[in-house]
Amino acid sequence: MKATQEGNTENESSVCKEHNYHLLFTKFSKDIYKYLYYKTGNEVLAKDTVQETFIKLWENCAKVPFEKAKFYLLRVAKNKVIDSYRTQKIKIEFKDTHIKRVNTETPLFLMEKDEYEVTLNNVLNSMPEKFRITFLMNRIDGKKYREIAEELDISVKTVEFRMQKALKHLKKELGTFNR
Amino acid sequence: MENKNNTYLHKWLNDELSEAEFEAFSKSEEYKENADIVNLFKGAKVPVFDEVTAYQELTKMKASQQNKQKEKVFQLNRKWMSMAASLVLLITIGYLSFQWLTNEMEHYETAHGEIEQLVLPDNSTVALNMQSSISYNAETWKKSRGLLLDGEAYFKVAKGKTFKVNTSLGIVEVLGTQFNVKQRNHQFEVVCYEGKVQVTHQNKQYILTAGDYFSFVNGHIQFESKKIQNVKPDWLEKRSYFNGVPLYIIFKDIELYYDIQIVTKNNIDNQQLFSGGYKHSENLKNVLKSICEPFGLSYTIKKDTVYIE
Repeated sequence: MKATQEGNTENESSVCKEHNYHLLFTKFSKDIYKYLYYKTGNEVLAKDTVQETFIKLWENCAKVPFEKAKFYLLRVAKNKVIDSYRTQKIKIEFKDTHIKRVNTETPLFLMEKDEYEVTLNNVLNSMPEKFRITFLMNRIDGKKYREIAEELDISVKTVEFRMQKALKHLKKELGTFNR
Repeated sequence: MENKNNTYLHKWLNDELSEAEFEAFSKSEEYKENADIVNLFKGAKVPVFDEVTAYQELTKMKASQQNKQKEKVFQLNRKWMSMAASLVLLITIGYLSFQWLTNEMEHYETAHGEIEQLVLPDNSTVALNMQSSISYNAETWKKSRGLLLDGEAYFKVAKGKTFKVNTSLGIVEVLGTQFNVKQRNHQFEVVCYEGKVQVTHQNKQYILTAGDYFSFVNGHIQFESKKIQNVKPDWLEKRSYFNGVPLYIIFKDIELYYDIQIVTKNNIDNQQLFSGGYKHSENLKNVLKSICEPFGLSYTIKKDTVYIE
């Protein structure tokens, strides 16, 4: 363990090397931000947590191998959010207007744009976090099940299950809004 | 069928359906059910994350973090230093108490209403009057017999080397004898009942033989030969006896034995001398009466306080 640690600091691929660290940031900061955003629905908190997470990576750069950095970052990010839930006792919510539609295609539910956003975000807010994160990673980021499974450290089967649950939830909730 | 559709559903969501497959799937009930919802998210966006600005901020944070880490190291050092300091202190205290224990400093204390009979290592005996304490070193007792007294005690000293009683007001040294030492409220009193006693007070020595009385009250030294007829101090018989003693000393005496507080009005002459005595078993009212009446004083008792006017 000690040998690898020392090796890491001297190694060309060490996270402690500024360019490697920067590379990790460009590669993963967005993914982590999105994960945090889907988790919390709080833009500011998500952004701050990304920074804190990367600071933590910097502090422990000698201990984290380059290849494991993404996994490490996601784990730290997750814990940081849990910490802020605990310490700040903020109720994190998907506030309206957070998820926005860009194209002006008329929604099928014949709602005004704003109304749609409020409703959609409310529904997302009421959805269990696990299903929401999985679903939004797929639907907004266009990530494949395999990628999501890797990122969240779960199986593809679990991703399938969560996707189905998410769809079911949306159907049920949006249905009550509409009919 | 449902299972197949499920597979199609996930393939669809995963963008993995071939054209033919999609065509088949698009006719299914499942597609119709879900398409609306899936379409809702078409073009949905999350608030922008500006990577470049974020990295700039991060670089700043890293810099300040490193400063903080330096501070942390310093704080850690301080923490260690204070820990080391307290460790040293602990060891010192431990060593001292170990010394204290091995020295076997004996300490006896009496509370109100307690008179304790003690036997010292050389079989000398001490009667310790109430609210008094003695301490001595048992280990070195054979070499030098000495103890520290605070209060009043009556000693019957076994024959041997010098026996020393140290008080804050004077030292009493003897060679096998019986004597009483009283050191209370700036009053220092030694009575010798048998043998010979040497009192050191303010660098002066006084030799007392049986019946001799030495006192230091209010800056006055009183040294009387053959004054005491008793064979042991009055307090051992649970009584107090005074011969021409200032009133305030009497009041202190009553305070001690009755565990009360006596408050005297300023206009009272506390220095007036009183001769007489009382038994400790006597009712407080009677005692106060017998003392106050001759001086034309009155008293009132309120709880634990006596007011004298």
